[in-house]
Amino acid sequence: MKKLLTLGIALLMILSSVSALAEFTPVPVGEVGTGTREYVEPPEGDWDTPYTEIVNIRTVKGQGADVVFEAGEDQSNNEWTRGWYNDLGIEVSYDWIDEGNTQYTQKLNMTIATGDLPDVFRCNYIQFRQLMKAGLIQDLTEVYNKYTSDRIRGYEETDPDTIKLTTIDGKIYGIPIYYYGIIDNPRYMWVRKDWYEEEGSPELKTVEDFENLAKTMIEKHCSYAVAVDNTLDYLFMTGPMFDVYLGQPSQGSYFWYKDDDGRIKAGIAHEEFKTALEYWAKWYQEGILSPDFMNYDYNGMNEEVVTGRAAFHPFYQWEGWLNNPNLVAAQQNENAYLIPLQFPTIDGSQVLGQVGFPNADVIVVSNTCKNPAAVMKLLSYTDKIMFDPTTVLTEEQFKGFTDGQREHLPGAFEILDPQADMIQFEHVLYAIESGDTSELFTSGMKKKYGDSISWIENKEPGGLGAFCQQGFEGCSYDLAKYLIDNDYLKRTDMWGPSPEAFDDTVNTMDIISIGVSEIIMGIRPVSDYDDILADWYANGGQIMEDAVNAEYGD
Amino acid sequence: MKFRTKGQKIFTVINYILVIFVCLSCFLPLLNTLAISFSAPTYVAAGEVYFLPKGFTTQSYAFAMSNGKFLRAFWVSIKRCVLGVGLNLFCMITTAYPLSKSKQRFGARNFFMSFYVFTMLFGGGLVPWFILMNNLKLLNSIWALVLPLAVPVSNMAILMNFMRSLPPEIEEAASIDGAGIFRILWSVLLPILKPSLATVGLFSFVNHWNDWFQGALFMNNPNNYPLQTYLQTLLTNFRDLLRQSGSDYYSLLSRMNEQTGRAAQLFMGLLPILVVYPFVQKYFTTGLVMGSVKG
Amino acid sequence: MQGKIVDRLRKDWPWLLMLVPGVVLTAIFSYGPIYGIVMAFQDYNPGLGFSRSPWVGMENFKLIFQQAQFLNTIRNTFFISIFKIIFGQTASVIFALQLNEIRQNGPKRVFQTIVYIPNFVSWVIMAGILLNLLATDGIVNQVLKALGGKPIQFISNRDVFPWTLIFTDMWKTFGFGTVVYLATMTSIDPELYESAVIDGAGRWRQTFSITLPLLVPIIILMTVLALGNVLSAGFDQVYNLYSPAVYPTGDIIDTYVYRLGLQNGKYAIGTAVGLFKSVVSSVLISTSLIISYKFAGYRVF
Repeated sequence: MKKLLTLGIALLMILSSVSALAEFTPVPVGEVGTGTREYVEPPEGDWDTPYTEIVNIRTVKGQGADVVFEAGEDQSNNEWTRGWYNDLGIEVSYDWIDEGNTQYTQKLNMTIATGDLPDVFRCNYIQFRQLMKAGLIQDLTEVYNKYTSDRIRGYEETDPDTIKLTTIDGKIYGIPIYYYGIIDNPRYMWVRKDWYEEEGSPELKTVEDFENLAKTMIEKHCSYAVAVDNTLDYLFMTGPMFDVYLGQPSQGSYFWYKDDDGRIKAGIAHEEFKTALEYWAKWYQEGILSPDFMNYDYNGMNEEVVTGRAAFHPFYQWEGWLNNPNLVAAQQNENAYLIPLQFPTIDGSQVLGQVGFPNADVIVVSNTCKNPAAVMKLLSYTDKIMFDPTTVLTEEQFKGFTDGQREHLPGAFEILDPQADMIQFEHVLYAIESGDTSELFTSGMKKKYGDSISWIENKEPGGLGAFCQQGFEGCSYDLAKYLIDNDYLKRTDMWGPSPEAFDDTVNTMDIISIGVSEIIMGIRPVSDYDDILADWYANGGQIMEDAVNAEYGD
Repeated sequence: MKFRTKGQKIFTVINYILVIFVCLSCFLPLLNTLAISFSAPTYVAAGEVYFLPKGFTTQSYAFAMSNGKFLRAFWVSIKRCVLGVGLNLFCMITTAYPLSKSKQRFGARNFFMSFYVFTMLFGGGLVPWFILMNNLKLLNSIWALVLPLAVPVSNMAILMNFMRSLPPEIEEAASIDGAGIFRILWSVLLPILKPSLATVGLFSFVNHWNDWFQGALFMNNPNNYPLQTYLQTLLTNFRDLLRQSGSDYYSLLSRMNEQTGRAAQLFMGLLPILVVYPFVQKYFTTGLVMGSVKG
Repeated sequence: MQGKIVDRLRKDWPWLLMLVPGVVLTAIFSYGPIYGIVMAFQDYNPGLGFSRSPWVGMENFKLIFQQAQFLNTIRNTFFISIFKIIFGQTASVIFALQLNEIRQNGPKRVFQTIVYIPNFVSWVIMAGILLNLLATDGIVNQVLKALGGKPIQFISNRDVFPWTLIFTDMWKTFGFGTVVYLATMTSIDPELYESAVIDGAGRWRQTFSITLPLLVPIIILMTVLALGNVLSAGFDQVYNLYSPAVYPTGDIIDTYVYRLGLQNGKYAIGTAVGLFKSVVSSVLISTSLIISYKFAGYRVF
C-alpha cells in the first residue's frame, strides 16, 4: 500500500512537471496565428474590403459564463473568428477573458497599471479619463471617419450627445458602445403570472392596491411578497412609486435630477425619498419584504424568486431571461413565470419611466496598436451582422453567430444601434400577432422572434426571455413604448458621465445604504434620515452635488 | 484507570459530553454540506436536509464531472501543489539548515535571517507585484502560482527551530566520520526531520491548495484557474454554469440546483485535504510543537 | 579586513551555496515588487511608470487620513483581531485542558484530529458552507428558534457581523492551539501530579495549581506572536463573507486596500494604505518578537 502510494505520487510529480514545463511560455488565450502586429496599409475601398496580409488584433473581454460553443469550437475558433478572418483578413487574440464577468473592472485596472495594454478594449468613463491623462490611448478621428461603416457614423445623428463625451479638443479618443435605446430603461414590478391571474389580474393603480395584493399573495402562496437584495439596488428601483428616482447603490451611482428650485440633486437628497423610506420600513414590518433580505445577494434574491418564496420582483425589462426559465423548470408549471406591471403610485397618478444616461462603456484603442483601422472594421462588421437589415445570412451562419449567447463573443467590438430595440420590438410583435414573418430584417429580430415562438409553440423555457420582452401585449417593451410614446419619462439631468470630482470621493454610497438599511429594518426611525443625509453631504455629497451643478446645471 | 469518587465520575461524563459536542460542531457542518450535495433540490430548497441526504441523487457529482471545468481546475491545483510543495520543501530545507547554525558557525547567519524576516514585514503591494509578474512574462503560467513565496518564512522558522532543538552530537559524530554538510543534511538530518517536514509540508500543501487570490490575480484564462479560484467564482456564478449544459438545462434543474451543485463541488474541493491530513496527523505533535514552542 | 572576509568565505561557502535557491527566488519575488512603495508618494500614472510619475510627497497619506472610512477600518481591524486572539486562545486552552482529562488515548486522538480539520478548510469553501448554515432560515437559526430564541442575522446585521467573524474564526482555528497546548501538557512531569495527589489535591486543584501555571508561558508566547499580526484581521475570511451592508463594522484594512486599488483603480492611495499598514505591523511584530524573547526566552528567528 505504502509502495503504491509512493509510486503514485512519483508518477504524479513527473506528469505534472512535464506538463508544467510545457507551459513555461505563457500561452495567450487565443493562439496567435499567422497575423502580424506591424502596420499594414488598409486596403482601398469600403470598410469591408479585406486586408490582403492578415492583421492581428489583441484584446480582452468580460463575458457571461453562459456562452455555449458548438462542439469543437472555442474562443479562438467560431463563426465570429472565421468571419473576421475570411471577410476582413483580421485575426483576433485575447490577452485575457474574464468568464462570469465579475472581475472585469479589477482585471482591467491591473492591466492599465502595467501600462502594457491590449490593442483595443472596453472601459468605463473613470478609466477613460485615467487613460487620457496617462496618454495611453490614441486619437481615432481619422480612422473613424475613414474605416467605419455609414451605419455606425449614423448613430451620431440619433444620439449626438454621447460621442461628444469622448471627443476632446475636436479629436475622438473613444467610440461609445451606444445602447439599445431608451426603450430598455424603465423598470417594472414583475409579478408571478399564475398567482396574479388567480386574483383576476387586478389593475394596480395605487400603492395601497399593491400592498393589498401583496398581502393576499403572502396569505395564499409565498413567504413574503417582494424579492430584493442586500445592495438595495432592486428596492431602489421601486422609487418611482413614490415619485423619487434612484441610482444603483452597488455601483455607487446616484440618479441626479432637478428639484423644484432648479438645483440638481441626487434622488436620495430629494424630499420624496423619505416617503419611500416610510413605506419600505412599513413593508419590512408587515412582511412584504423578507426579514432576511439583507442576507441575499443578487443570486440569493433570484433564488428566492425561483423557489416561489416571493411573488414580486422589481427589475429591468430582461427579467424573462433571468429568472423565468428557472421558475418554470423549478415549479414544473408553465404558467409560473413573471410578467411586468407598471409601478403603482401613492395617489394613483401616472408613473414615470426612469431614464438614465445609458452609456456605461467606451471602446478605446491603445497607443501601441499598429492597426487602428482594423479595429474600426471589426466594429463595423459586428454591427453589420447584428443590426443591418440588408445583411443576408444563411440559417447556419445565423445560428453560428447568435446561438448560445454567442452574439456577445465580439466583446470589445460590440457596438449597439441606439434605435435597434424599438424597431425590433415593433417588427417582432407584428410578426407574432400576424404570423407574417416577411418583415423580420435583422439577426436580432429573427432571433427574438424565433425564441418567442419557441416558447409559444413548444413551451421551451429558454424562449421566455424574448417572449416577456417583446412577445405579447403587456410585455416589458410594450409597457416601455407606452411610456415613451406619451412621454411619461423622467430623464436624469446629468446627461453624461459623472464629473471628475466624483473620482476623489470614496464610497459616499456606504453612508446612505447603511443608514437606509437600518431605517428599513427598524433599527433607526425614519426621522434619523436627516442626520444621515447631513453626514452624506459632509463626506463628499456636497462636493458631488456642486460638481454636477457646475457641469450640468443651468 | 479506576474512578475513585462519584464526583469524578460525573465530571468525566460531563467532560466527555462537552468534548463530543465541540467535535460535533466541527464536524456536522461538513456533514451537512455532504448531505446537501447528495440530496434532491426540492428538499434542499425547502430547508429539510440536515445530516442525511433526502431524495438521494448523485446528479450534482455527475454534473461536476461532466463539466470539464471542475476537473480541469482540479488538475491545475494538483499540479500547483506538487510543484509548489516540492519547491517549498526544497527551499525551506536548504534555507533552514544554514540558518539553524549559530553566528559562530555561519558568519552571515543573522544577515540572511534579517533578509527573510524583512519580507514578512514589507511588501510592495498588489499592483507592483502584478507589474513584476507581467514583466517576467509569468502571467497565466502555473509558475506564477509556484515561484513567489518559495520560502514561506514562518514555516521555515518551524523547521529551523526543530533543527536547532536537535542535540549537536548527532552532527558532530557524522562530521568526525568526514561527512560534508550536504552529506550530513541528506543522510543524517533528513530522516530525523521527518515529522517536522511532514508538518511544514502539509502546511505548504494547504496553503497552495487553499489559495484562490493569486489564481484570480495572475491567471488570464479561466481554463488555468486553480480549484479554489474556480470555486470562488462558483459562489456567484453557479447558475450560469448550469445554463451551459444547453438544452438539458431545464430537465437538469429538476434534479439538482445551485445549492446541491455548489455543495458537491465544495465537498470535492475539500476531499484531498481530508485524505492527506490523517496520514500526516501523527507527526504533528512532534513536528509542530518541537519546532514552534520549544526554543 | 579583506583577509577576514576571504577567511569566512572559505569556511562558509557550503552554507552560502545552500542558501542560493531560496535567496534568489525571494530576492526576485519578494524584494522585486518593493520598489513599488514609491507609488505611495506619487500621483501614479501608468503611462509614465514608476520612474517618471510626478511626486506628490505625503499627499496620498493626508488624503487617506481625511477619510472617515479609513479610520473606521483601522478600528474594525483592531477590534476583530484582538477579540479573535482572546477567544481563540481561551477556546484552545479550555479544550486542551478538557482533552487532557481524557485518559484513553484512542478517543483523545480522534477528538484532536476532528477539531483540527476546519483549520485546513479554505475560507472560500468555508464561506460557501457558512453562508448556508448562518442564513436566517439556516440550521443554526432553526436550532435557535427551536430553543425559543429569535433568529439572528449573522451575516447582514452590522452589529452581529464582527462577532460572526470572531466566532467562526475561533471555531476554525482553535484546533491548532489545542495541539500545541496539549503537547505542552503531556510533557509536564507526572511526578508533579503524583505528589499533588498525595497532598490530597483533586482534579480541579491539580488543573489550577499545576497545569495552568505551567501553561502560562506558552499562552503568553502564543498571544504575543498573534499580536504581531493584529493588523491582518483575515482578508480571505472577510472578503468571502462580507457585503456593503456590513462595511461599517466588517471592513478591514486589507479589504479596503483591495477595493481601493483594484476595484476603483486608485493605485497610489491603495499602496499608501498598504504601506501604512506595513510600517505599523513591522513595529508590532518586532515588539512581539522582542517581548517573546525577553520574557519567554523564546527565539523565533
